[in-house]
Amino acid sequence: MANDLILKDVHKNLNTLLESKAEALPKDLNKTRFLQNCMTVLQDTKGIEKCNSISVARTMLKGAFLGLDFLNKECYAIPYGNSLQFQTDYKGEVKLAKKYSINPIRDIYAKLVREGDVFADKIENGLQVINFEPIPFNDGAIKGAFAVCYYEDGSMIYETMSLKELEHIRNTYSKQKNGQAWINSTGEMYKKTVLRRLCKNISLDFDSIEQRQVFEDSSDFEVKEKAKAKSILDNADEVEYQIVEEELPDSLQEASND
Amino acid sequence: MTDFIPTKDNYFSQEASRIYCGASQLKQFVQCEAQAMAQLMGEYQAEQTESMLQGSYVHAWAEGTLDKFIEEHPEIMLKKGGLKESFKTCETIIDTVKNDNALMSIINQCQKERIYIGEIFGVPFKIKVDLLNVDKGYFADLKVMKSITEQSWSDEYKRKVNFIIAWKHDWQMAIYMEILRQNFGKLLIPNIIALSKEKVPDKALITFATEDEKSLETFREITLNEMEPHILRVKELKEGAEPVRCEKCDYCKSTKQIKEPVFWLDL
Repeated sequence: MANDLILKDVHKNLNTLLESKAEALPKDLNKTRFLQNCMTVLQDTKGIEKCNSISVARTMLKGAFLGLDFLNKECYAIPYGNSLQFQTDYKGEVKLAKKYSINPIRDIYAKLVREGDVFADKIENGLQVINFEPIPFNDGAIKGAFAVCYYEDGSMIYETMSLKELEHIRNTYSKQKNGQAWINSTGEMYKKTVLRRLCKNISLDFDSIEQRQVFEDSSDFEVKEKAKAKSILDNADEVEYQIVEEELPDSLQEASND
Repeated sequence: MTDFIPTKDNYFSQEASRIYCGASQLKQFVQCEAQAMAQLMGEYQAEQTESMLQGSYVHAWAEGTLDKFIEEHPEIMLKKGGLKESFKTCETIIDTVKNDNALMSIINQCQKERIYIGEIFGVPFKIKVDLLNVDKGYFADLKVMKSITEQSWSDEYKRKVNFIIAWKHDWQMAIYMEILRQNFGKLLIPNIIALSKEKVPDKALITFATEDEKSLETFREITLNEMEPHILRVKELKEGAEPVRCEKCDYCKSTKQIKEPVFWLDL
């Protein structure tokens, strides 16, 4: 019941937002279809009843700014406590790169490299070449991932990351390193990670400031420096060896006299 | 709430465990509901491993009750006298702590083994805090383990994880933080003093807070959210719901009756 009420509110709020932000939305966005798809996805989103309806509508609007479809899993709305987080999927990232690259893209993709697959990158006659021969239906352990982008003018750029690098990015910069996305779709998140890195070298020309902002925010990776661990040791130094209430056991007495 | 108040003497009693949930109990229920319930009913007793006893040895030292501990556990001594090899390791671990000014300072300025009660999602909880310093705003738990840095495979996360995630110590920290919040009206910083049983023991002071002022509140909220369904399930089970067997733990194996075959590919 609570679910229905919040969804009704979200529908109203999102509709209003889509009207008021019409200028910043992609020209080819079908608002009615987008709204319908959002509601279908939200109905099945666990924990949605804990979220505030206005913030839910704002999160869904981010998908609209980028022209990504929640139902087609090009992007996700993930409840996190009482807020709803927006995240793009690998599929969405490919769509955005193809649509907004200044230098037109012929093809762009990312692949996982697993145990036993052959992957080589080299320069042949001055040209960058990558060669990938995966074992069919390989279920082996993931060793790394690469992403490659072929432009229509024949040039190409690519990026590779080892498993260690991918895990380092996940552990250091991800906002939800143990969130649903990373746990249930680890491979897809690896592909998204390497693709994001590749996209840094592709000049994207977004239609609006809102689009660029949402794109920057939706990576799941926080660029800002990691918060420093809070130490209790400074406190400990201030009152060295002060004993609270209980008597110091003999074994400790010896040690503190050392 | 109930009239039963857990104390040092009855903390691990069956009655205390039936009335109050605790961090370890919650983890047991998540591992296997049937085993956890059998333990609560006194129908099954999990074996106390040497590894657990090693942890208790170091705890007893920190609490200042090592002599009593040795008296109560003759099995840690050799027949010809002296400590068994595995408990000599504990002595090496204790020396490692003694040689560290920061850790000694924390141990010395904290209250030891304090017991508190509270309620989480309507379920009564009991906690026993190894080291507590309310004035300075923190508490700490001593953990003795094989290795601090080694990661182990987790079926749940489908990757290798550190010992805190593997053993759900983050749950324990969040439970302690919440019960202490209910008792003292503020969020205390959770810390783990990790000590390894390696030949040359490693040590670490691990915190769950960052300089970001919201970090404690976020940690509490996210972890409580994660635990909510499991805590509510414990409530149901204690109120009489049928426990689910995992068919993998020692209890399930020891009480198993074959009812149907398993298809070979389902193994």
